Amino acid sequence: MKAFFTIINTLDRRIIFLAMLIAVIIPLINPLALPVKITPNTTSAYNVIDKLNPGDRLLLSFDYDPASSPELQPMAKAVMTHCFRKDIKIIAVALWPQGPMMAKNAFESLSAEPEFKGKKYGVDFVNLGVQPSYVAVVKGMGDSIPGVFPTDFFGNKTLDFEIMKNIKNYRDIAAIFSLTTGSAGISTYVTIANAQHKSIVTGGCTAISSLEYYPYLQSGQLSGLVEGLKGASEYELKVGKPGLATSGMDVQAVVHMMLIFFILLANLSQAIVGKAK
Amino acid sequence: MDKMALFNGSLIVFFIVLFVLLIAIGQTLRTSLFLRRKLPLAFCFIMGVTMIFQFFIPPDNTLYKEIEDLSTKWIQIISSFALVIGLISLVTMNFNKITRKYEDWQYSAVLLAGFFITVFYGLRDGFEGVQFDFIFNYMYVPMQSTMFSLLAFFVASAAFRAFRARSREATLLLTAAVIVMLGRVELGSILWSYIPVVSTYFDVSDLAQWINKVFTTAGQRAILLGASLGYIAASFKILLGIERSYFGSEE
Repeated sequence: MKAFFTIINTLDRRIIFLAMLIAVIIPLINPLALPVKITPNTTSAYNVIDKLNPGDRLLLSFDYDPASSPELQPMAKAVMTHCFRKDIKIIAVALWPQGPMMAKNAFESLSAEPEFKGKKYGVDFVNLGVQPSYVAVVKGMGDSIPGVFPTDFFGNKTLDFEIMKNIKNYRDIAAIFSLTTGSAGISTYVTIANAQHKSIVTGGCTAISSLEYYPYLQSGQLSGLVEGLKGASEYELKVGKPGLATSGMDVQAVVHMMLIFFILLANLSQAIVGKAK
Repeated sequence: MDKMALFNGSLIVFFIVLFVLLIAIGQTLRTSLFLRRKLPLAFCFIMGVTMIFQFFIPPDNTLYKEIEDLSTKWIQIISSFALVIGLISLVTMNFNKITRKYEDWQYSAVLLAGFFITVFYGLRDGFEGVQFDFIFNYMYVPMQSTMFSLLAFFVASAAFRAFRARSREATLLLTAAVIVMLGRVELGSILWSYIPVVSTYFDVSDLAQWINKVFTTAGQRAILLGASLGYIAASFKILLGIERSYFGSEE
């Protein structure tokens, strides 16, 4: 037994990598279809959008890049699905340079589905692109959204779009939903749009950064939070359209279990053999 | 060549000319102490105080709107210049690495090739071009996602080596981490339900939520407050001209 744990204590990291690879691949080939328990934070974020009326405008901020897309792109699609079903108009902006491309991909993917064939660019959705200096952008939108984004991502005049009719600033926006991965995003909207303009701010973020926003949740400045892949899968369940996040949760479940197994194994081997060299 | 490509091309030429002109002016005026030190300090102080002052004016006020409009435009213009400087710096640095054959210069060649190809297709076709789309969706997205996904493998290896119950504090951290990891996935709840007695009183996902809401949020709030106070102190030092490192090495 001691010999076995001595081997474990000096286990090559490539074996751990291999075990992780197997843990990732198996649930993808054979989905476990594990149940998803919806957390109160996701429900609150869902309710913000669910309470909006048809025709209301949602400012959807794509504040992430492709590195976070496995977690945030399914979330974006679930939120957009919810909005399109309720006929809520989406004004997409970005505080990250790669954000507009993520918004473009999400809209192209959804508008290709038979359910949303009738959704038109400029009427139901507009992609205003990105502007430099995120604090100035969020502050500037409090005065004039078309002023900060005079053209959309593709160079068309913002004010020519039907969706932008009678839209001046945050007062004409029913709610703000920020999909955040770093410093630019939820915190910026909370500290400026909510604190200064009393806008309703909600959002989603990568699991690793979710705890950063808990103080804002408790203070009521942030109305709900969709946290990571789990949150995205919960949102998919709420809108009744399981997608990539739901299938990804099986992988995450197995990987978490594998991590716990490795941690326990390492501690057990340390207890039996002694401190690893 | 369509109108958009022509416009983009002219804009780049304009920025390059402007950049060269500014360097020339800067070199000519650098001998003046007033222009080199006092004027930037005065600008920094006036702009900083104006921005602070703005937070204490209601958003409906005309003065607020004026400052808001002006400052937003100024900040965006200055940020755009920073972007141009960044691009020039990236190209010259990597070009030097290639010409002087520094270690791993081949990576710089790949970077510059990727940079110029993407810029070329971006300027020529805009964001709707097939080639630009291809580069973004089939090269950039998979590469970035892969880099981020590799974290899971390194985290597993690091957790195996470092997450040991060597002290009371480490044991506490370990226990909390295991509970949160179990609570984040449904498989954890299923496994937890097999633990006798404890599982009848506590659900692991509720327990994980409680740890996050109480202990972690308390820590986060402390960090947030501490960082904000530090930020205010650093801002005051810059506004009052005590901290001048932004002037460059000469100061």
